[in-house]
Amino acid sequence: MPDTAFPFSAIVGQDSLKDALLVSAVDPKLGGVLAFGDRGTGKTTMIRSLAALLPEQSVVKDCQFRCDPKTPAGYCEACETEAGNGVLQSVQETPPVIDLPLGATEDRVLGAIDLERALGRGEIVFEAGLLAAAHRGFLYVDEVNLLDDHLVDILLDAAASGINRIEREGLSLSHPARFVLIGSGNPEEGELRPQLLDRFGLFVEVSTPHDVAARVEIIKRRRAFDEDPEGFAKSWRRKDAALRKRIVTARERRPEVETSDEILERCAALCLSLGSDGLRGELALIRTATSFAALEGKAQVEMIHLRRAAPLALSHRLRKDPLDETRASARVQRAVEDVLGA
Amino acid sequence: MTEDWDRACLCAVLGLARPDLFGGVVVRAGQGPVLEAWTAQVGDLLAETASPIIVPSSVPESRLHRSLSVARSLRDGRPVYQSGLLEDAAGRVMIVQGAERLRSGVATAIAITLDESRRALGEAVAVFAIDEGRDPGETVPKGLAERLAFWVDLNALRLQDVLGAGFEARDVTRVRRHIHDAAVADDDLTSIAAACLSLGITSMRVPIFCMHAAQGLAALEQRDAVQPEDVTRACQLILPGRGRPVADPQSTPPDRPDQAHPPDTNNDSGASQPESDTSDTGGGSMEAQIIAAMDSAPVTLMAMPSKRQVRDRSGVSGRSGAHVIAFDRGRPDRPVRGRFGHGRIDVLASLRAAAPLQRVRNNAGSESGLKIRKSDLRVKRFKRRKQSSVIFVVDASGSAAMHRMAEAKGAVERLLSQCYARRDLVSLISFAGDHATLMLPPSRSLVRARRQISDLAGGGATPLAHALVEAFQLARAEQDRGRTPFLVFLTDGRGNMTLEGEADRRASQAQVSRLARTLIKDRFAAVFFDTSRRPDPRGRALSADLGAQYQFLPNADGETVSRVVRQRIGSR
Repeated sequence: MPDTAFPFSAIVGQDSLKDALLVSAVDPKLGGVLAFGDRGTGKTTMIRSLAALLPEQSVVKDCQFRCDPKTPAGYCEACETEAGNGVLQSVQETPPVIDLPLGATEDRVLGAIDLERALGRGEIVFEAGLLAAAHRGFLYVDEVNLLDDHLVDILLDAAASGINRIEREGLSLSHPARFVLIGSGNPEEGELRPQLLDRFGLFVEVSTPHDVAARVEIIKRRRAFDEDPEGFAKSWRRKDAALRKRIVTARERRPEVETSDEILERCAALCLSLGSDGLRGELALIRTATSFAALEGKAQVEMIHLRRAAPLALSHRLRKDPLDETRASARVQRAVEDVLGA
Repeated sequence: MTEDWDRACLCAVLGLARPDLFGGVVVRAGQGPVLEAWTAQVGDLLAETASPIIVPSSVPESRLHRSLSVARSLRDGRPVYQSGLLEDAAGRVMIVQGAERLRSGVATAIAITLDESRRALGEAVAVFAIDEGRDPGETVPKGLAERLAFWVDLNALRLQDVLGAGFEARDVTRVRRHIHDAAVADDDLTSIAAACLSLGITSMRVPIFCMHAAQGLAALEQRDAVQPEDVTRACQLILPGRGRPVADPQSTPPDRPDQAHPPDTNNDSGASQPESDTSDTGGGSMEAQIIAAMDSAPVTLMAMPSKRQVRDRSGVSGRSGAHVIAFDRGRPDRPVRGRFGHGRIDVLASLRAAAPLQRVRNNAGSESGLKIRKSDLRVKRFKRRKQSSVIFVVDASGSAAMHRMAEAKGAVERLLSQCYARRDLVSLISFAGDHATLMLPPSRSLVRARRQISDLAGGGATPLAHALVEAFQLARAEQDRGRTPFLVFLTDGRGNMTLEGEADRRASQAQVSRLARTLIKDRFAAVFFDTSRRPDPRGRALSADLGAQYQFLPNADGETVSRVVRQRIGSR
C-alpha cells in the first residue's frame, strides 16, 4: 500500500534542514547531510516527506540497480548485455529513500549471495543489499553516531566513490551505488569522529521551535494529517508540486550557474577566517551556494547564496577552540558578517 | 482499584485502539503478579483480535525480518524461509520482554517499523515494551521509548491495588472508531504546547501524543468535543517522566517562554493562522492546571536521566564506547566470515553456516559426509576493553605544594605498579607559577615515573586554566590513540593566573569555569580531589562543571587517590 507521506511543504519551520535536503536533491554529489539534534524534531518526518516530494526519474525496467536508461556509461552488467540485444524498456519511478538500521549486517548493506538461487539451482547470484537499493536515491541512517565504525566506513567509501565493490568468497563484483547519505543523531549520546564529520557535505543543527504558536501549528497540521491523510496531502499538493518543479528546473540550470572571481575570493576568505581545515569545506560551500542560486533561478551565485550556504557547509568543519563555547553555527554567522559584511 | 492502576489500564486501551497514533506503551515492571494482572487486562481488551507476538529481549536481528530457517532447511533439504517477527506483527500487538536489554539494532528496527506503520491503522504494530530495569540507568533504548506514547510504572503497585477489570474490548473499539470525532479547541492545543515547553519537553511527538490522547479519552466517554478534564488527564498519562527535571516543583509554573516572539507563520500562507493571542485566560489557566496536575502525578516515574546522568553513563563510567573489537582476546562478540590464518576459527558458527547447504552439496558430489567450504568459515571476534590512560593533573602551587606533589607521586607509583598487569598508562601534569608542565608523558614505566616526577615544585600562583587546557589536549591525544583517558585532578580549584599569564583572580576563575563547561563536552571520565583545608563550594562547583566525581581530600594522601582511581578504572 503506497502510504501517504506528510507533505514536505506542510512542515513548519526547520528551514536549515529543508534547505540542506533541497540542495542535496539538486546536487546529489554534495556529500549528504548530517542532521544533529534532539529527538522529536521532525527529522524522520522530513526524510519521509522528501521521498514523496522528489521528482520521478526514469529507470530501466526490472533492473535491480535501477540504471538510468539515458546514461549507458553507468549501466550495470545486465543492462549492458540487454542494451546490446535491443532497446531497454524504461519506467518512471520515484527515487528510493532507504532506511539503514543500526544493527544491519555487512551482508545486508553490501549485498550477498542469493541463498535460494545458490541452493536451488547451484547458481551464484548476487542479491543486492541496501547500497544497491539506495542507488539514485537517499540512504537514511538514524543515530549515525552510534553506528558501528566498520559500517560507517563502508557507507562513506561507497558514498564518495559512487560504486559498491564487493570482494568476498565466490563473489567479485561492483555496481553503481550513488546515493545521498542522510545521517541524523543526538549529540548527547555520542559525537561523531571528526574525520567522519568532515565527509558529510552539509551539517544542520535541528531543534524544535521554541514559541508556542509555531508548536501549536505543528500539532494542528499533524492532527489534520492524522484525521485525513489523503485530504491533507491534497490540500498541499500544489505547493509540493511547485517545489518539485523548482528542483527539476534547478537541476537543469545548476551546471550553467556562474561563479564570479569575487565570490570565489570571498569563499576562500570565509574559510580562512574560520580556520576550517582542508579544501572540502570550500568546495562544499561553492557547490551549495551554486545550488541555492539554481533553486532561485539565478544565473550567477550572489552574496546572499553564500550567506545561506555557509552555515550548512562550514559548521562542522571548524577547528575546535576550547575557549569558545558558542554554537558552531553562531561562529559561522559571525564570520559571515565579518567577511561578507552584515 | 487505585488511580495508578486505572491509569495503566487506560494507557493500554488507548495504545491498543490506535497504535498508528500512539505507537504503544512502555511498562516498567518486574515480573510478578502485578505485571501478570496487567497483561491479563491487555488480553481481555484484545478479545477476538489476533493474539500478541511475544519477543524476548535476546531476539537476534536476523529474526526480525524474513530469513533462512536453518532447522527446517536441514530437514527438508531445500531452503525454507521463515517470516520475520516484524512482518508477523503487522496489525497486532508486539510484547517485548526485557525491553531495557534490547540491543540497539533491534530497538532501531522496531522504531522504524513504528514510523512506517504510523500511517496505516490496519498494519500498525502496537509495541508494548516491558521494562524490567531496576536502576534508573536501565531503560528502554531512547529511540524506541520516544516513539511510544505511554510510559507506565507498575513497580509501586501491590496486588490489592490491581483488583477489578477496568475496561472491555468494546472500549478499545469505540476509541478506535471515534477518536477523530472528538473536536479539540485551539486553546487546548495551545495549553498543551505551552505546558510541554514549560516542562522542558522539546520533542514535538509529545504534545501530539497529548492531543490524540485527549481525543481518545473524549471518544471513550462518547463525547464529541474534548473537555478540559480530558486534556489534563491526557497530559497526566503522557507527560510524567518526559521532561527535564524542573528545578523546584513547589514553585509556581514558570512563565510561558517566548511570549514576546511573534507567531511563526512565515512558513506558509495557505494554512490557517494560529491564534497569536496565546495568553488569554482560558489557555493560560489550563496550562497551569496541567502543570499543577503533574505534581500530583508520579513525575518521578522512570524519570529520564538528567543531562548529568546521561553524561555519567556515557563518560564517567566509560562503559559505552570503551570497547574495541579484536580478533585475539577479550569478551566474545559476534563471529564474522573469515579465512584460515586470520583469527581463530569458530567451529560452531562455521558449522551453522554450512548446515543448510549440506543437502545440495551432497547431491552435487558423490561421497557423503559433512562438506564445509571456505565460504562457511567463521572466525571468532572479541570485544576488548580499551586501554585506560590515567592523567594526573596536580596543583603544585601554594604552600601545600610539596606535600601534594609527594602524595601524587606516591599515587602514580602505586598505580603503575598495579597497572602493569592491566597495561594501563599513567601521565602527570603539574602546574604552578605561570604555566602547566607535562612532567610525565603517558607511560607504563615505574622507573621512568620515579625519575621524571621531581617533587621540587614551584609554589606561587595557580595557572589552573592552563592546566585544564593541557590536560584536555593530552586526553584528546590519548583518545585518538585508541585509549580511554581518565583525568585525576588534585587541586583546591582556586586558579589565579589567566591563560594570558596575568595574575587576576576573578578573570582566571571565570576562564576556568568557562573552560570546564566547554571541555566537559568531551565526556572524559574524571575524579576531582579537593585538597582545600575545608570543604569549599568552589571546588565542588568546578568538579561539577568538569563532570567529575567529587572527593574531599584535604591531606591528598596518595593511597586514597590510587585506591579511588583503581576502583573507577577497574569497574569498567
